[in-house]
Amino acid sequence: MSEKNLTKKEAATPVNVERTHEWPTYVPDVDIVESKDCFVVKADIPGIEPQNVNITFEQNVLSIHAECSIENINGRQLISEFEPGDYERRFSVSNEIDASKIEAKTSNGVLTLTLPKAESAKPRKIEVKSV
Amino acid sequence: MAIKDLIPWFSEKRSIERDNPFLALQNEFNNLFDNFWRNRNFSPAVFEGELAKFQPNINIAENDDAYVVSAELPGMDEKNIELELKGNSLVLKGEKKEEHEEKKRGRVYSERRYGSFYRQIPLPDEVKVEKVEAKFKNGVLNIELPKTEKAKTSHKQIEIKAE
Repeated sequence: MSEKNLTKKEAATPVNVERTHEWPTYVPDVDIVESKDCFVVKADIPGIEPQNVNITFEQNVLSIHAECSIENINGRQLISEFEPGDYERRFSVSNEIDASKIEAKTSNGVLTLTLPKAESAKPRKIEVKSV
Repeated sequence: MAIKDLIPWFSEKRSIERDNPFLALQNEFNNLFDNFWRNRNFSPAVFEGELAKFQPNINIAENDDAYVVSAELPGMDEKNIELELKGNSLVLKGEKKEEHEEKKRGRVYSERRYGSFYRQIPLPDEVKVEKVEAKFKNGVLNIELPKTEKAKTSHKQIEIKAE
């Protein structure tokens, strides 16, 4: 028995907002790695065309929204463990990030976001002078 | 004992479990067994001697001419995916490697699964081995397996006669 949960998490519908489509919206799994000068966020969004990914950054909130393309299934579904759906996730980001330099790229169903840290947030070495 | 405990479907699940720990335990065991049986491939990983770290989600569709199997494998390179046809079973295995540069790594938050995966998918009918096509796009592997002539005609509709 695999202990890893196979089911994808569905995104909670935001309060007072209704979804206008029938297909599900999922929360993508992410890996966030912090290095000295940037954060790297990798999100799994399989099955999404690169041009359907929308990333916005406003008021310190980074939003990832990916729209799926609807495909008609030719034939009968025997086993369906995943259904095409949108992916949505939001992160609140502190002032440490230099918003103008955020980069994003998609490869093999993984969205990689590079968020460079602002100059003020980078660790600064302080020289110790001997007197 | 409150009345609502006797009519479990009436009230909210969580409030029952809070009042009755035995019911909560039973529900947990039910879920445990349900999840076990839900996993249709509980034999192969052990028999092959490979302990798969995770199992990718798959969809299987069938039309008159072929089976179409798709698997979600985001972040994989198609070179790291192995696909074999063993008899009537499709075997999908490989390893998802994570690129972590050890020295640059600061704090890490990880949700994505990686490691080796193994999945054996039994197919109901025979397929033409030489005509199987697999494409990997946007992290989804699509495999088309055309049925043999024998498989196409093996479906017979049984007519029901009215008496």
